[in-house]
Amino acid sequence: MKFRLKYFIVLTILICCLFAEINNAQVVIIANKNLPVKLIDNNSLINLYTLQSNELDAQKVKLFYSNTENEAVKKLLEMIGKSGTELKKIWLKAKLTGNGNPPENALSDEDMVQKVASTPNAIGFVSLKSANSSVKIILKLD
Amino acid sequence: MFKKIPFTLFLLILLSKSLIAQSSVDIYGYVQSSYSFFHNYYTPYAPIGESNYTYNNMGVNQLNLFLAKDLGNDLASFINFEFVNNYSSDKGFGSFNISEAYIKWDYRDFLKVKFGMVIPQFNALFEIYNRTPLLPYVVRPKLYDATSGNLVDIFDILPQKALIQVYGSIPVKSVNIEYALFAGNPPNSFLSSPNNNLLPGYVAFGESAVSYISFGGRIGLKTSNLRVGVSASIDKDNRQNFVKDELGGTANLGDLYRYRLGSDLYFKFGDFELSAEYLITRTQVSSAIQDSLDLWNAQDPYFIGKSFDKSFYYATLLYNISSKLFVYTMYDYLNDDVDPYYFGLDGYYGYHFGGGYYVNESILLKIQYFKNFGRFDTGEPVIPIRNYYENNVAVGVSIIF
Repeated sequence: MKFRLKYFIVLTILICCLFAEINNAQVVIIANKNLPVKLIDNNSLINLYTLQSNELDAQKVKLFYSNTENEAVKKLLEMIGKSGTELKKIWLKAKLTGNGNPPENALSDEDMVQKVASTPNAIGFVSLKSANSSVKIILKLD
Repeated sequence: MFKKIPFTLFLLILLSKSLIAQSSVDIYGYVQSSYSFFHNYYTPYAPIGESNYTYNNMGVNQLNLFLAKDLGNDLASFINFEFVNNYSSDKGFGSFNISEAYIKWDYRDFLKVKFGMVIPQFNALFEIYNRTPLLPYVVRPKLYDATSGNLVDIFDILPQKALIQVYGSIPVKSVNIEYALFAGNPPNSFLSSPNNNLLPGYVAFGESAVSYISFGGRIGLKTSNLRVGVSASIDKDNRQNFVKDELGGTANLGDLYRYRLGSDLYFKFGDFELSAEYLITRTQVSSAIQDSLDLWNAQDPYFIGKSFDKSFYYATLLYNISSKLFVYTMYDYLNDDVDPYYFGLDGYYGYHFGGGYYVNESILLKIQYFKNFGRFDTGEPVIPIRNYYENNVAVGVSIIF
């Protein structure tokens, strides 16, 4: 019985660790609390980050991006279906033609949360564990 | 002496305030420098007055400087200064242009307006033809190579720059429907200049001397990996001083309606990117003018063609070896029927092979080899038809600053 209990505890710890890892890997799209949008769909997010659009529900939005190659960036790029280089070429084209401005850079998840929280109508992305009550979550990327 | 100190301080305060006010102006640009080798030859031999040439060229072939400012209330301004071919006003090299200067009203995604001097949305490459860091080429598809402006007037084939453009995109699920409508000055040949002084004493140089304006637009679809569009425009072609023979004799053919129809395609599949464009320009002529063109052509087929129609197309297949390295192949074709002396019997066309390497986000190294072709009816006895070939090698670097 003692032997089984030991295995049960170890298994429970392993499952908890695995769950924690999955939780950490989950990426969320965050928005400034004043943005009158509760949820965003994938197409709208793709349009925003490819600068095809700069609005959500008739509200102009301010985008943030992270130049660091972290898990959140990987998940976002995977969802958009572009590499970081491709996305930056799209932003460069918009800037050189006067048709749009690239998203502003955030140095870390904490910086992203702080910038989104303090910028009206801002949108950014972080790992789930980094999001806090100063911003709202409008999409989860699994 | 001391009386001057408050005045100097006042000036300094004014100057610093002015500098602070201007700090929100975003100043950036790019430059492309290149080296090119050119060699041309004719078979079986060069026409009278022509020859085979070989030359090397290097320098700054394109430099653009941008000033952009967010003016608030959904308004922004954008100015694009363009310098081409080692520009020097002192030495008479190259040219300097205000390529664009406009104010943009970004009301919503489906309604944006640019007002000023605008390169309109017509096909895909026109809007970015002078943005060398966005292009894989050292030497662009024939119609768009701004450095050969003294050889081919692109605004005689493409629409004139617009004064106003209304445009936007409308999302429908994963597809975006794009549209653009524009209007602007008539072609440059209707603008007064020292070499083309229209209505002397009335119209200042650089201003239009006719009542016509140009119209056009584009409609297209865009998804993540596909962009297609159809463009059209209408304007008039100034043929009041049409040079009808080699001796410089002119005829007044009047102002002729001109129509353009274009289509563009971009498709990404895996690591491949296909981009292509097609453009035809048709000029409406009366039967009397057509008879005159036929007559002049019969008299000198090497100098005058039978119509004012023009056509252009290109297709590029690019392969991304990695995120930094790419290679491509391109075919391009340009023809202006009225000018067989330059475009020959079948147009001017070529095969291109090239590649590039992104050193970082600001520096793009490029290399390109291309061979151009033409065929001419010189009208000379014995062997009137001559084949024309050009070999070109070019290396360049585009730098964003």
